[in-house]
Amino acid sequence: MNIEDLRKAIAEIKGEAKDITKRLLDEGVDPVRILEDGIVKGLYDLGDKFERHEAFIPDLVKGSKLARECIEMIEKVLPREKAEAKKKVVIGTMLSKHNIGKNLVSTFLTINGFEVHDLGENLEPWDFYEKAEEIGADIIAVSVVFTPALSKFEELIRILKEMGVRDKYKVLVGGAVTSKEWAEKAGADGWAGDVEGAVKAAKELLGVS
Amino acid sequence: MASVRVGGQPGENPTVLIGTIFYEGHKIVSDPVKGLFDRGKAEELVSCQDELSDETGNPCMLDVVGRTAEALKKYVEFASEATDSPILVDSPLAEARLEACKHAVEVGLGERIVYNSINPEASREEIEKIRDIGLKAAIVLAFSEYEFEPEDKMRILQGNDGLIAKAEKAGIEKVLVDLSVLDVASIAYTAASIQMVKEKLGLPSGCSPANAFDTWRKAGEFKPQVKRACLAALNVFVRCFGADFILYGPVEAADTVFPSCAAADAILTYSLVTGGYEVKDKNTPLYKIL
Repeated sequence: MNIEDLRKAIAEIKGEAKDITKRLLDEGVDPVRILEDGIVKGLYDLGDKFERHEAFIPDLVKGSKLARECIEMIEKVLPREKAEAKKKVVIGTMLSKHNIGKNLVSTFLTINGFEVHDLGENLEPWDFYEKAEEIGADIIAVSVVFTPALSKFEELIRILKEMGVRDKYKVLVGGAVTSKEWAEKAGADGWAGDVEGAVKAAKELLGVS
Repeated sequence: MASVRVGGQPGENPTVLIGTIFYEGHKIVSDPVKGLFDRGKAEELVSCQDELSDETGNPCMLDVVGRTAEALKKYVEFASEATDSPILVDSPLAEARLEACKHAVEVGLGERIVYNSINPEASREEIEKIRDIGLKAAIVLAFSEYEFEPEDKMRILQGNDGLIAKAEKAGIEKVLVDLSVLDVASIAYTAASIQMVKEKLGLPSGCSPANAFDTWRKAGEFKPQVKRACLAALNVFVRCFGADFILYGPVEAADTVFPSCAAADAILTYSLVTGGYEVKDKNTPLYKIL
């Protein structure tokens, strides 16, 4: 069993990915390599299959769940000082229970080295503000997937300004009913239309590679 | 449920078809916050569904969606005047649903109201308010984007914190279980879930295959008539897997959905007849559309 097997197991959504992860860790393989070359590449392979119409939403959800389980095993053995240096992201879905996109972004931000605080769904603007203040976030990432939540996002920006903390955070937004133009007008620092775009935008906003 | 029978063995009762009106982006709505709409066009749409229901023998209900309580109250009042069918009170916001239902009960429409919906995120406060309002019928929405397999759905429905227990605490006596869909492929899970819920819990079950259109990427390339045929196919598919009710999407699709589902119902009923079943109510697709 090697990292390529792990990559394939993730891409094909096979439960054995967890056994392979454990075995690789037991064998002393660098956890960062397991993460980047096994899990992340496997998830990107699965994403490519989705783009080619060879995988479907339930497959993405299952793949994301499987990857999260493997990542949890890896996080336990990652060097502590690396974890402490992580940039912090507060993420959640505004006003709605939908979470597929948000959860995928959350997973990908985690595997790209961010410390992600996932607030879940059905959130109000104050939830983002309070958590960001509590943990000293670098980024507030908001998923907006239905129309009434658009004005709630604008309310969040207003709250951040009124509380005098707007410049403390980079605010990233995305979701089914958003667009780049709307995000700019609403006062976001960045917008993403897909998972890869969200990771790229988060890195660019903080100037990290 | 009100005057409509839902459930039973496949072929016993025709599929209950539920069209949605005043949905997000519905062109007949001019102000979704205040609830302003083109009454004439809305009446046409509702009448069309009622007429097709009469022609096919498929009972219908009307799913009324509103963004705010103010809008939803107006929509429900309109619906109560435009049709005799049961009315589903639907909103993404619980406060809007509750306020509109309270108003409906106060003006004497309680028997016709179906709360849409009690979902896994329903708070204790929402459940208590439903009970206080005195509602008796509800959709329970077994929805979780991370849990879509039949066993997951059973877990969401059962147990002390499950949706069925929540509905009981809310005083709901008539439950319709919506097994939800994520995309077209996921209807495979939904269909299996419908069968499992009917078999193990004996509750009327269904779903809204139309929701799969939002994520059907290639459907954007289809011509409108092809889209309608595909919607009909999705609805017929879930009916053949036991769906007792179908939220078929925008009420505008009634002209395609009713005849196609009625054809499926007619075949299912005839398959019972060939096995010796006696059809007592002749107001059924088998005797109305063939």
